[in-house]
Amino acid sequence: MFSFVPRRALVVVTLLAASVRAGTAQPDLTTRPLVYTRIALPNGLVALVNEDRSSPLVAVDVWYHIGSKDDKPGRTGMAHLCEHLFNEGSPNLEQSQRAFYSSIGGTSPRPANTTEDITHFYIAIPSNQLETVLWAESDRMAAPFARMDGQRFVAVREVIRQEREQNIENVPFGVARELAVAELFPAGHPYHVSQLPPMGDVYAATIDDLKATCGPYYVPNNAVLGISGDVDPSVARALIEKYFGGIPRRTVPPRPNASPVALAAEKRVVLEDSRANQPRLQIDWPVVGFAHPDRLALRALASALSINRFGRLSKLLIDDRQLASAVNVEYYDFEKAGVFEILVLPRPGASMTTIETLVDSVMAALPLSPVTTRELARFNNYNATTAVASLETRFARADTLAHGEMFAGDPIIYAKQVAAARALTPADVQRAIKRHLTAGRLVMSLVPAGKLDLIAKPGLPFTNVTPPSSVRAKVQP
Amino acid sequence: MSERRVLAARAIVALFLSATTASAQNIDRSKRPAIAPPPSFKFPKIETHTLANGLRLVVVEDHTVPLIAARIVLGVDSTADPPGKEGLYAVTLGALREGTSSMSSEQLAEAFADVGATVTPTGFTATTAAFARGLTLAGAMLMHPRLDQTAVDRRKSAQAALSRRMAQPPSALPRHLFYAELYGAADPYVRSLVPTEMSVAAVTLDDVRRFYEQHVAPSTTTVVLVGDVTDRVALAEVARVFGSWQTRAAMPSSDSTSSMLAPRPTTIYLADVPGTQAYLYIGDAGPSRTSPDAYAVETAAAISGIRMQQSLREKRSFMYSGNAGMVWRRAPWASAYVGSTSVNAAKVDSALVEWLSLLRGLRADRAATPQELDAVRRNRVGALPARIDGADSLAARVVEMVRDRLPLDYFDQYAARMASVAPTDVAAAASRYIDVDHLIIVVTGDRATIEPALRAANIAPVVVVDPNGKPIDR
Repeated sequence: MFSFVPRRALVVVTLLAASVRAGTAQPDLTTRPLVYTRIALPNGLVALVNEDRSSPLVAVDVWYHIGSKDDKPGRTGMAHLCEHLFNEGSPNLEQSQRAFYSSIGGTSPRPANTTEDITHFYIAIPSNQLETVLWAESDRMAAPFARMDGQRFVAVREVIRQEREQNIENVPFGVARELAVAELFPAGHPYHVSQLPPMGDVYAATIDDLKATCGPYYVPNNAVLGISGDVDPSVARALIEKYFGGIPRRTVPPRPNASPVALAAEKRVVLEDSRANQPRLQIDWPVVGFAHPDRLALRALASALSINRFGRLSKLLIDDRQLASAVNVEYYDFEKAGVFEILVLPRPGASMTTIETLVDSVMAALPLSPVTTRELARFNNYNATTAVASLETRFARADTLAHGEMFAGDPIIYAKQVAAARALTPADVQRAIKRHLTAGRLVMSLVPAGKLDLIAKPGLPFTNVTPPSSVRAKVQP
Repeated sequence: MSERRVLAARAIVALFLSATTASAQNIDRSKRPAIAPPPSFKFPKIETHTLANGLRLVVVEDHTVPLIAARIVLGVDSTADPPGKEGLYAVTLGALREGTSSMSSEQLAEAFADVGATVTPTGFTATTAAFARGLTLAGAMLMHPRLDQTAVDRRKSAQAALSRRMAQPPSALPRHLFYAELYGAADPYVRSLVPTEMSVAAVTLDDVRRFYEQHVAPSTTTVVLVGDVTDRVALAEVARVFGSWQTRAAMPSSDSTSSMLAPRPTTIYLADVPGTQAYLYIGDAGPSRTSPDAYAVETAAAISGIRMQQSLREKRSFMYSGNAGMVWRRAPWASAYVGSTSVNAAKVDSALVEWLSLLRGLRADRAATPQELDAVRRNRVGALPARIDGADSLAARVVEMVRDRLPLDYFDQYAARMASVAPTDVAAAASRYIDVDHLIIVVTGDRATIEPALRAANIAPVVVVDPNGKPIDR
């Protein structure tokens, strides 16, 4: 499974019906994008400020356009390593930003995150501390990795090793994601390696390597600053100019070509894990990414296949045939390419071969019984609620604006995409299926260690991709 | 934010900017910016009502976004599951969603799609325009459920699959062993943590119907509505949906059922789980959430968390992430101080030595410094606005107060109470509730690697246990 959170198209829905009444017909909905002020500094930094004075809280979200797809072959895991190093203080801050922000009332689900495409650092803070945060963020942007020394470097590396052990290697099927992208995208493709890969290259790296590799990305012209909450945009502008205006623009390394790919034929792999107590069937297609017009059709299809009770796959496998306890269909839209994934958790004793055959029958039936307007309406109804709910928090608003700016040069592209989703037709979805969900796909049987009798269609050739870490533990008798 | 405070803040910033903007090219970052005093925290206004049938309504208006979060808090939870039928509460709640007297589960699902949200008998979040339809559906499921064999079978199957899945992550075993050692394996809270496939299979249709009849009634139910709804509309809507719900006697939830084992000298319970990573749980029983000691122990626990980050992550690189803090249960049940993390199996002994040393320091030689106290206050109190950002978060805090039986001015009082905690209170609370001589320590990991090192380190007696917590003879 992918940890990257698929971005829902987000929108604030203005409800024209003014009062709450029972049993009214579907209300008229119009999309009202977030109101924001865009501030572009001469050095290339773009800031987006959404004002909300309803409580004394402000979220600050600093995005840098560097992710694992910018890692060079033989230098994997660098973007993520740099995220950790960037959190180790700055010239005028002698402690980690994580500890410092916590001590001034900051909260954050995590201090930072690295995805395939970006690295961001975020915090929600009492609004009287906004200037402190901008001071601290500008201090590290002005002199990235300035406090790094041998001792800190070794310490950070060990923390990352722990992160990998804890979140990937010691989780049942935790390596499934990195193995899937390695099969879907060819060697050398920027999405071939995920953001927290095995540690070899990280151990080989030196501090100077890192400063040279990541430094050029941590510059104002490669950053977007999202701010939402208790601040007057004109005050924000003055503070941003004051703290970030003097940081010079630098040349950003050229972007790698991360165009979508297709698999020539079906690939079948098996992953064993001694920590797992039940199998899973995962089917992945390499598809297009965020910017592609078929993105919305793929999202609508994911809904039609797996939505509660009506999803064509979930209804068949969970309700009618009682073969699965869960069916999850997700479209992961990276910046330049994507992955469309069907994940089935079988009920104890259910045959994965039967499940795969049924999945195939549902997919094969789509041309004859295309996604209906009712299925699209259900998708759009849930989408409208999710959209409003997704922009409830200041952090989500700052994040949404920064994401739109960095991926599309348009902070409110989400609103346009919601409008576009309402215009989707069954034919649009059908075209996307035909184009992207081809025979070239990856079928992964994930099974408890030693349980090769559980894999789907065992008669077909497959590759066992189980790494040593997944079966290092002894199998319990 | 008050108009006056906005103006004051603007004036301060404007003064500051006028002095420095000119030199933006070469600003001096060696000095941290001067800041305005922290804004004072005020929880949004809470309105309460009680219908004639005893159902309680709690309303918080927040019109920022056209969204309403509805939560329905029942007077029962999974701690009411009878022994051997753990999972009964979950199956019952699930079965309520499988159909009403007038709608099949499929018709319900179609209605949810019109609302644009999955509605459950215990709540939903919907747009303002869809809210009334959602509340009607939630009410129908709660008051007029179908509760037939199909519904119960379907939920049992789902719950069994969930139980199986929840037993899978390597963090599940140490957590359960820890709470079983702390409160006793027969404690209803501990039993509720792990419904097994077997205990779920033992649940019958009669059990579900009886559980529903005994525990679900208006007099023990609280409806929480938060968001883009006025108090007046909220009351009218809740009266429309729930006003006709017949009063009936519901069993009050029992408070005396949670036991606690007598404190024992610090002991390490080690369970063998092959692999390179080990899991650690350290803890002790704490006061009830409504105890006067609650704020001091929360402060002590938070300081232990800060020191844990500094020492186990930043200084020694033993861990990637770890937590330490109070785990509150509803008053008057005892809370727990709980610290947990995951480290390499070969580092378990070193990590424990370091961790216990920092806990020992809390009560005497390295008592809380004023800077630490200040950081904890800023973090806990300063974070309150973030903890109520958005209708869902705000509703979660209201539910927390209702469920844990806290006074509804709890969060308004919280800042003042936290500010009144002195360093001596922290030391006293630490020695009483984070007592290094009476800790429960659970380690799960590769026994061959861990046991010899642990015994050599002589931290505390080591008891090797099986996955059920039963000691294994050496």
